[in-house]
Amino acid sequence: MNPESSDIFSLPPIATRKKGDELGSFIVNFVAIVILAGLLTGFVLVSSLVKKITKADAGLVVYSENRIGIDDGIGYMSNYAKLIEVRSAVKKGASLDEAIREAGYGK
Amino acid sequence: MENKRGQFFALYLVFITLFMMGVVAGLYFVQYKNVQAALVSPMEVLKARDGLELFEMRETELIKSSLDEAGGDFCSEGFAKDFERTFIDRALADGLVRDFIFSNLTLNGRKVEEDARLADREFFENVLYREGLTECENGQRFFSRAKVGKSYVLKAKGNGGLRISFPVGFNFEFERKYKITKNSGGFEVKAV
Repeated sequence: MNPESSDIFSLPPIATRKKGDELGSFIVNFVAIVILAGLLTGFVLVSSLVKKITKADAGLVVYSENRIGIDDGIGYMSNYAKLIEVRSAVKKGASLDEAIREAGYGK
Repeated sequence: MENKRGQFFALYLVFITLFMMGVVAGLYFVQYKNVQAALVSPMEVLKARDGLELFEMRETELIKSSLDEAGGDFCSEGFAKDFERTFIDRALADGLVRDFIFSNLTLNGRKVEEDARLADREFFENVLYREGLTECENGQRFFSRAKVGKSYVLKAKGNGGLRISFPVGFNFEFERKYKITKNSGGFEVKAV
């Protein structure tokens, strides 16, 4: 091959590339792939850990229960149980005021 | 001299990945407070349902006691008027009935709470328990409550200072018809 015939845009012949360059490229690529794989694996693991810690398994995280009224809901449930008592007492013939007082509804 | 910059492209990917991971984590910590604030409490809906149940229990009680007070033949006009007048007097004097009926009141989709409170007895006589809704057929009397509604806006609790808030409108309408029969033991009132 005549070296004068090659222009500046053509790649150097493989035979002219040094073995050290190829080894260096391989090592850099290998190291980068290992780092990327490690980073992505770590990201997934940390994400799942955060999800577990914050109890977000169902896809919704409640950081403060009183801000969306869940604690009100718990209070409501005990009051609803009293309402059922009122309903049953009224069906048995008690007056509504008496049944509310007996069951302690609304307190 | 040979250009060796291409050898480091793979390392740039590492930095780009780190940057993207940082963006994801950053957005997560910035946004989660706003997301929870967008949820609304369903308490008003539950309270409205319980309020309706209590109101209907009281209404049945008032119907029974008013029937006992009314005089004359069961299907006569005099009995009906006597009963209605007594029932409305008692309903208007009852705090539970007034609070439930007037709060967040709507009629045909329009908010009428203030007007109804001003009209007071007229609202009860001419709208809620108007004469045409009471009738007697084959020895059975029917007493009806006209269809009215309630309208609520459900908001996220403590939404002061939040950037995102989605209030949810909640409307419902209710009416009821009672069948009243007279037997030897007195009056029997059943919802139909």
